[in-house]
Amino acid sequence: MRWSAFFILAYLLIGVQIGISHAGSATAAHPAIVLLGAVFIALNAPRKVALLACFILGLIQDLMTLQPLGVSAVEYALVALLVVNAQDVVYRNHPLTHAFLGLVCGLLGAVTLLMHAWIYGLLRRKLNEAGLPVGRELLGVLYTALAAPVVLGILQRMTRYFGFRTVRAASRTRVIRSAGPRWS
Amino acid sequence: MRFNRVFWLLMAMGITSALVLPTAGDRFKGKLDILFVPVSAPVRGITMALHDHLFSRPAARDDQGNTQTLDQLKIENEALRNNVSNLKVELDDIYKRVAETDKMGNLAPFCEPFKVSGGDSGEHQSLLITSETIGTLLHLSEQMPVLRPEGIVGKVEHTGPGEARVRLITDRSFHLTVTFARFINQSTENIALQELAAPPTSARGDGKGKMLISQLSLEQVKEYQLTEGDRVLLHDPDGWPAVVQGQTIGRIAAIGPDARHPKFAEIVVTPLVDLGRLREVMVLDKSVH
Repeated sequence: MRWSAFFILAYLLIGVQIGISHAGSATAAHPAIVLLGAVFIALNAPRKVALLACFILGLIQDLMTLQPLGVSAVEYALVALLVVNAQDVVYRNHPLTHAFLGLVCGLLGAVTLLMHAWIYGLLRRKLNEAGLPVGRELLGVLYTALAAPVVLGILQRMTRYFGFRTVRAASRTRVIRSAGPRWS
Repeated sequence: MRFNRVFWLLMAMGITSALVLPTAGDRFKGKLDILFVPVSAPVRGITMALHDHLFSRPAARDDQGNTQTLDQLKIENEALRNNVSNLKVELDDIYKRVAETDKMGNLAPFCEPFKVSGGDSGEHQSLLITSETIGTLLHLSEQMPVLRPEGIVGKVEHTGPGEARVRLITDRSFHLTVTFARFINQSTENIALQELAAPPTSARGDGKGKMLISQLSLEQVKEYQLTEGDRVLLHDPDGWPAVVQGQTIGRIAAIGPDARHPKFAEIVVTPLVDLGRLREVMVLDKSVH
């Protein structure tokens, strides 16, 4: 994967996420655009690269919020673990695949955030601190699923700029290289 | 195999940081936000314009023929009311402390306007504020009050070159002390602010655009005659400068029994304006602290 393309993508997605967050209303839910970026990376990149890239993506997002460092990093790494294992069994360019992945990964992300808020509250004994609003999180998951076909559809058309090499392609290259040039 | 170990080590570090060491990364925060403004500011502008276009209520025309939406009129009205409550508390204080008269004038000269360039991309309620000139933000520091003509917005949390992050009062880890007041129509042209006898009590953000007060018993609520629509004013001398005491936090939206402590009341307070949709905020300068 071309890391320069990855960092440009991260920059754009996080910029858009900051822009749309609470722009409708402070109480309104919003789609998780950066999470869809993580899904895109995990859908196309080899396993190791995908896991690392998604962790870094989350880490960059954590630096732009008030939440503790590591929350989004762990969330996106878990999303990557889920999607990477499904790479070979999904049709990557189909809008229904995108919507389904948006829904499942959005739910996984929401559960991670809710668990974090709950455990964090227990550990810090901030029992009077309000937890995350579950309803808004679930609405956000729905928005993410609705936005997924559009966002992932656009991103899937740009895969060539990322220079993804699947595990299968990489192993094929290794086999050819080990065979050596035919004229030698 | 080696990668797996490194990955799970990273995960363990991430979980530790997220749960046990929440402030570990604070020194790295607020340094890069300004880089995202070229993307976030236009996106926010487009999103808000779309939202206004789709959901704004019909316009009203006043006697002079000026056209304003009902939301704009409501906000203007609330700003004027907040000004009255602030001036009344200010005036009382002037009577008490004549020596500090110079400090207690209108807040405007002490405030500096900043543009809102984005929200919080995580699960907290905060705003990213920026200035036209980078040097303007350099003197900002943490815990500075952030205001609007309609009342308190929050406090500066992280500052970086050319940008700062403001934690909104409705964020779920925001706490402050408040008192209650009520506007009374004495005649058709005269509206007076009456401070209620309820003691100063703690309010906290609920993370959903509102604040909650749950330290008053149901008996106290009845005794002090708190009702929906009463104004909630800042009364927190320890955490906020004197000049912002009496600024409006919001209005009581609902009073009901607390689900966890049935003898206590849960008072829901809503800010006068939607804090997430602000386009500009005022930061109170350090010189008045």
